[in-house]
Amino acid sequence: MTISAPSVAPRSVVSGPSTGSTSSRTPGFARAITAELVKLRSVRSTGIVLLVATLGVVLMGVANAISIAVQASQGTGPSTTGGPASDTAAVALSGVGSALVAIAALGVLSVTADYACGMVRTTIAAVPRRGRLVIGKAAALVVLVLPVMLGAALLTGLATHLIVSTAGLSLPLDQPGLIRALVGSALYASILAVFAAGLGWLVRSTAGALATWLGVWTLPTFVLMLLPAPLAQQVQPWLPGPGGAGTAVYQVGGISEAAAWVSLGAFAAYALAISLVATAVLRRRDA
Amino acid sequence: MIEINHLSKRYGARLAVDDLTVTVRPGRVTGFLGPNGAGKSTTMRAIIGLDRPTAGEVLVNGRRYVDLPAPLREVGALLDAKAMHPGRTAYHHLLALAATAGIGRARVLEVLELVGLADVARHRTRTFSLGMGQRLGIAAALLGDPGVILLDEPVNGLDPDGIHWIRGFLRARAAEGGTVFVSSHLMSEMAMTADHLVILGRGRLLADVPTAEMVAATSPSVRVRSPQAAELEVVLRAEGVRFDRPQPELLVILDRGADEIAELAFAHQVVLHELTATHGSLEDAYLELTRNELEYSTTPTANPTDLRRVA
Repeated sequence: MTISAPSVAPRSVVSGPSTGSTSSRTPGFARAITAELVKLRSVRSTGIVLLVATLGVVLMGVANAISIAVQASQGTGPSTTGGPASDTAAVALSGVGSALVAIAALGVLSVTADYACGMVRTTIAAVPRRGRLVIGKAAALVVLVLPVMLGAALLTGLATHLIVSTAGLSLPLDQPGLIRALVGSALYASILAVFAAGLGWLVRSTAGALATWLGVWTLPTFVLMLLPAPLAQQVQPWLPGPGGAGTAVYQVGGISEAAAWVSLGAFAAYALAISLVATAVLRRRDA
Repeated sequence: MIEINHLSKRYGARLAVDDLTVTVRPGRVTGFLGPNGAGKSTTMRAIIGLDRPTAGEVLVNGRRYVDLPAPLREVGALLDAKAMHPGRTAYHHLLALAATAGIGRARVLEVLELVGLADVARHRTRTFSLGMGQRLGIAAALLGDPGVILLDEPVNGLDPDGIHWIRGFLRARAAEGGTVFVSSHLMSEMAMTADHLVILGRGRLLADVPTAEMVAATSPSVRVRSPQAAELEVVLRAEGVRFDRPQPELLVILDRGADEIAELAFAHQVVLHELTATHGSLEDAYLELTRNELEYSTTPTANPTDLRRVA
């Protein structure tokens, strides 16, 4: 391998005009997000995880839709017990839960992979502002996860509609809460990725962060069992995890629109809180 | 320009850097020397804001590193050649870093060409040798065409061709008015590259001198082995010669040439078994300076002569 001669080209002496604080901050954030997007897109695992998540949503939804269609045509379906439209909508989003595991892994890995190889130090040297770094990673995750999960949810909704219509059922798009549930599932997944990335910043190791996520996700459920049932039912919707904060947003029936968004807001608040803690820890900690 | 003001860094019970004050000036290559564990890497990590100083501060171009709006345009740093994702291509590694400073892909391709990695730009970095990783790290440091270059042990893993290129590159950068700060634990390497030396031992500043001054300070000596060392000692004292007698039969003459000693011995009929002129090298001066400051010394009682023989 040969190396070209050292660069002796004259360097620009002017290091850019010094601009006001607002105009010099904004490109900093935008650039940090762009850089994290390039990083996420240029490793194989991102594509694999997003594919797994998409397949989880689509295949599970389609499989359940087929099962509903078959049962309906045999006259044994849930249509006899409840509103058919509401049930088919729930079916369309039945794969979201499994996809979330992949999304959480993506969020964790987006940070811990940097720690595993030392890339985090190269990154911090380029973006020394820790808040900018955490926001850049979080925003890049949302930019990737949101459209993919939205596409997966809408695709599954459409596929479910087509499949159940063969059995005489339907999935009307103007059904209350359906669009909110489809969009909400994608928003929930995006926020989950940010939440998981926050754990990644705090714990740093892939195994440790994944284990922590699993703990945060499942432990409250076990603790709730110790509480009296009425209290547990009140607390449950505000804890992270299955059936907890944010999950109401991708439920179609049995919840008001306002309550669904408040629920998602609570989950977003958790993700924001963990990102703030991560930023504070990064500022104090040696990279 | 890098201004290090009373920098201290403590890791648990270990004080890695102890009240270090140094200014690294533009227009010359400053070599950062010290034995392993002396605190060189810690200092460099503090310069680019990776590690928080326990006390003191570091300013780069008059500002804290964390306050630089686009650090890569002002400081190019290579601290760890392996600090890259093995599954990412060289091109994408640089593209991501370039994005943080608003640098376009044309410059990415340019630096890949410059360090000789253009042919493997689309290969994942896990396929790279240590030397190729080092070159990619240098390419990253060059992305923003920065005025300050900071390299930690840059010649590790480089082939002779690469080492030659690095030396030429650093000298050219300094000649253009850049601030170049390069660490190494090898004096011989720095002697060929650096104009100025900052020497660290156990976290403390041992020397902050021009390389030429360091060379001038290393004086030649003459080793004399004689069964009549005691008689020779009397003669030398009478002649006002400065010398050491580390062993009963060994004299080390500090301010006379071998020829003079030979003539003195002949005139006074002293038998010599050995008469060796040893030229003081920069390496010797460095070892002398850091002898007492070795963090992980294998033989704590060894004198520099023994170290020289081992080296």
